[in-house]
Amino acid sequence: MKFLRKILKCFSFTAALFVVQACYGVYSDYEDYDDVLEKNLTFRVSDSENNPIGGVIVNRKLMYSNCSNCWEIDTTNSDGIAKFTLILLKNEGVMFRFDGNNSYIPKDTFITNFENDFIEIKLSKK
Amino acid sequence: MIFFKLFRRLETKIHPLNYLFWECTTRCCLNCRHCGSDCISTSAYKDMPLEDFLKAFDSIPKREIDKDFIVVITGGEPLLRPDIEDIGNAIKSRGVKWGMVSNGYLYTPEIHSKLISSGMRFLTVSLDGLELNHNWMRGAQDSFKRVVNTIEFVSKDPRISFDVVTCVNKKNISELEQIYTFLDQRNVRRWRIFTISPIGRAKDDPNMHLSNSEFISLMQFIKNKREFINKERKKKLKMMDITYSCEGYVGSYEEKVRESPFFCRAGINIASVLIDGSICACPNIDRKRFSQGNIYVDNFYDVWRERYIEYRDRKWTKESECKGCKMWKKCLGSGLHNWQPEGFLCHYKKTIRK
Repeated sequence: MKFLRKILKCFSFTAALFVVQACYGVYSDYEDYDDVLEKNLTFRVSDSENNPIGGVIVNRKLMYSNCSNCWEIDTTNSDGIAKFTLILLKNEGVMFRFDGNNSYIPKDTFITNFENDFIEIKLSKK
Repeated sequence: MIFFKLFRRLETKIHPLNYLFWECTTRCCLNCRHCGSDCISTSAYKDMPLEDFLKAFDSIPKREIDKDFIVVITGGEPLLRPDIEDIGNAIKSRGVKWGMVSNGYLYTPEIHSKLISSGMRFLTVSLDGLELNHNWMRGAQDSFKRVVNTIEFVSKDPRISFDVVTCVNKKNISELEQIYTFLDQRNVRRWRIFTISPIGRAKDDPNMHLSNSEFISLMQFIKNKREFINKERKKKLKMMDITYSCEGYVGSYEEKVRESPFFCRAGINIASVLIDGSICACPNIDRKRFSQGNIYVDNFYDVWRERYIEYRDRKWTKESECKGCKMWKKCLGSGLHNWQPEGFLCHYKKTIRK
């Protein structure tokens, strides 16, 4: 019967029927599901001599809708590592800004390819 | 219509659970006039521990949880729970998407970011009028300002399915056009309109209930707006969608005020775990009458599989209030939340011009 349900969905042009509405609940728009990806990323931030830099503020901003106030923030640990999960749209780029306090020159980078989940970042001393 | 009836019959027969409410708290930071749950800042019930809900949730076999399954966290105001992020992460770790219904009062960009990371994919926020009327409905002078702030930043986020809901009453019915423009200008994609169910605080407030002629004018407004939107969309213009919620069957306005014909999914696709552990369907359904069990006594999934008889076979409605109604085959007794101890609310009757 579940198979019949799938057939009906495919051939009856009744996609709207499959949107379950519930009074006082959220509107579950299934069409939106597949566009959102979840990526686990690890950054390692180091200086030119490959020494890890702790306390670097990793700002990230998804590039949607001119949102000027959408920075999300993490900080590297003493091994220079910052791990976080990105929730983003397919094919969406993300702007990262690495702010290494007063000793390092801040670095901006725009990443669109998330095939690698480990990314090395080098910061230069001021 | 043939496909729809076939689909409805099949769906009822299979009754796949894919929409699970969790009433995680009945505490609320506002004191809304139309609250169906009678929520206040202090509640007779303690918040349900997350573990208790998860135990019930984990009774659902994994094979029954498909990609369309969602958990909807509701209240009260869910953001009053300090563990809301843990709740989200626990649901997410089970491979399930979740959504939340909020009054938007406590919502901030920081909270939004955390909730998105913990798997939230759906959010519904209430706006009950322009400033004066919204604040009157919500019982807080800064409520409008705060919810509009929430709407403005959430509506820009394409990672989330977001809509705004409005409870239409005697005070705000005259400002619907302005509310539409207001939300459209703020990039809201979808506006869902409710009318008040005669439950909780709302049942005794005459300002909350539309007369039949007001109800018809509301249907007409939604119908006209949808026709206009469809025309504009043919010109490739982006327009905010407007729908009437699943309140009840509305006769000749069916499919003109929403995307699909009326189909009350309570007990067919929708279940709930309520604050006291009751296993029910939509939270606005008469709990005393329609609860099917309790998670502290019963296995949740056994209840879903074996009970819910009144939900899945609604012939009983034909023997009582709906007796002799020619619309019954289409309506099947309307939404179950309309069957309250005070009587039955028929939306179809409200649409008949005298």
